[in-house]
Amino acid sequence: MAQVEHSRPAPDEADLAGDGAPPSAIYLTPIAPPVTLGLFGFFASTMVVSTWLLGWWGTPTGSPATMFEIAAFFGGVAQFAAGLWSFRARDYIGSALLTMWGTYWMAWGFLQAFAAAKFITIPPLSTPQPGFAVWFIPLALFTSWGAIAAIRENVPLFTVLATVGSGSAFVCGGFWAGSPTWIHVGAWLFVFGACFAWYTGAMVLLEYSWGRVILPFGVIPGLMKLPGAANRPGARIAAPVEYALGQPGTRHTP
Amino acid sequence: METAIRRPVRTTKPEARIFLQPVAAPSVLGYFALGSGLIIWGSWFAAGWGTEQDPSSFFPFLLLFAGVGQLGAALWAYRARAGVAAALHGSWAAFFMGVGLIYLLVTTHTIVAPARGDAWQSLGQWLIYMSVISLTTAVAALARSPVGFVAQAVLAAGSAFAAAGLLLPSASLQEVGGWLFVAAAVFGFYAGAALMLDSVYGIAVLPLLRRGKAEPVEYVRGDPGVKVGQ
Repeated sequence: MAQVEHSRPAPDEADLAGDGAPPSAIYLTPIAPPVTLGLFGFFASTMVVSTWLLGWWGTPTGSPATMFEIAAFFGGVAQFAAGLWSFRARDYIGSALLTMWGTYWMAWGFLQAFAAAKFITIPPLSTPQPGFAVWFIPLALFTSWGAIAAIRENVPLFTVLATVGSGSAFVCGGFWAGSPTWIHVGAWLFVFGACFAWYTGAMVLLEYSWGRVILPFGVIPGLMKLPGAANRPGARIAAPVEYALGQPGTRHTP
Repeated sequence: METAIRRPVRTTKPEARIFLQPVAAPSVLGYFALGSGLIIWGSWFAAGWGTEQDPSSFFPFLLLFAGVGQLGAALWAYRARAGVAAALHGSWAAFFMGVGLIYLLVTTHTIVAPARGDAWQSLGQWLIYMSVISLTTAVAALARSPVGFVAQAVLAAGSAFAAAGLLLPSASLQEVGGWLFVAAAVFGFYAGAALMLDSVYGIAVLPLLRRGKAEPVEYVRGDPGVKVGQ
């Protein structure tokens, strides 16, 4: 009997207060990387709309009517969903910024849908639009904060957030003042950011699928979390737990 | 003043476990939904059948099955640890939801969409990036799924031809793109069916070049989720 009593842990001070915590464990659940879909949605939507803003294709008033639908779903819904899964991935940057930009593209889709239905009229770029410009104040601010956080992650992700954050600031100023030049500078920065978004999404997806580095991660050793080996194609930087003959979820990349 | 009740404070790390949770392969639904959208829209886009009014009849199917249904598969792919499936099905689900919405707005006379064979700059732009994304997921799929690689590589080629056909414009390039979408759908159907039969029978009924016989962990007298199936 005494042996049984001694096999239990001695009650600590909290137990004596009647407020003891039950035994606990932390469950870690592996999932596929959500950032890839989110960045692909951002990449495609940003490229289509930014190149249109730069006048590379289409017409100023005719194109948005058949352009906003996919942007609302790909840059919007899909990127938003990836942002929500980033919470499960314990990714602070993805959970905040993919979700934020996902809502931006959905909101932009709403605006264009209202214009297509002739509920509102969207003026040309040379007309000040402060009501739209203010959208880009929080976008510029929080994306730039994300860039500072990404200094601990990798150079491509930092570049995405730094260029998109500064591009948002230019676009904000451009729409506020009715300056097509500032908007074009912002659109160029968006194009650069979108290309790096594709690279970052592909980099993560290819490493996850092949189990080794395919596209270099751009890690600055000592400053960033990943080891310097992440810059070397062919290097293995992860050792996922899996049961290879099991169902999806128990094995890595079914 | 000191409070009477003190909250318990843990100063040591609690025990940690990695939990692997098996789920049904989301790519079965994903490939079925993707293939259905591609075969209907692709064959129509290739001028294989119908008139300019037919999207008003098939847009709900594109919007809901190829779109929402495929998005459901993409979201479950995260839990299945299927990075390629999440990216591929998430991207194409969004594309088909967008295309479905375009034809919904055309049906309600809110917007006007160009006829087949004509220039359609905005859709052509979208298809450029769908091609880039599909090629990226194809290269990733090559690591473990040769069938998935073929389906996605053909899909990328179809997107590129369709984009060129819409931007130039060229009716013949649009037709090539549309039929490549149909070919990608056939490979997708094969991949989805093979995954389904593989999980039901536990052996490779249709070859997927998978390594080893499947041996899922289950308690066959348990509830769904504890046993495989219902």
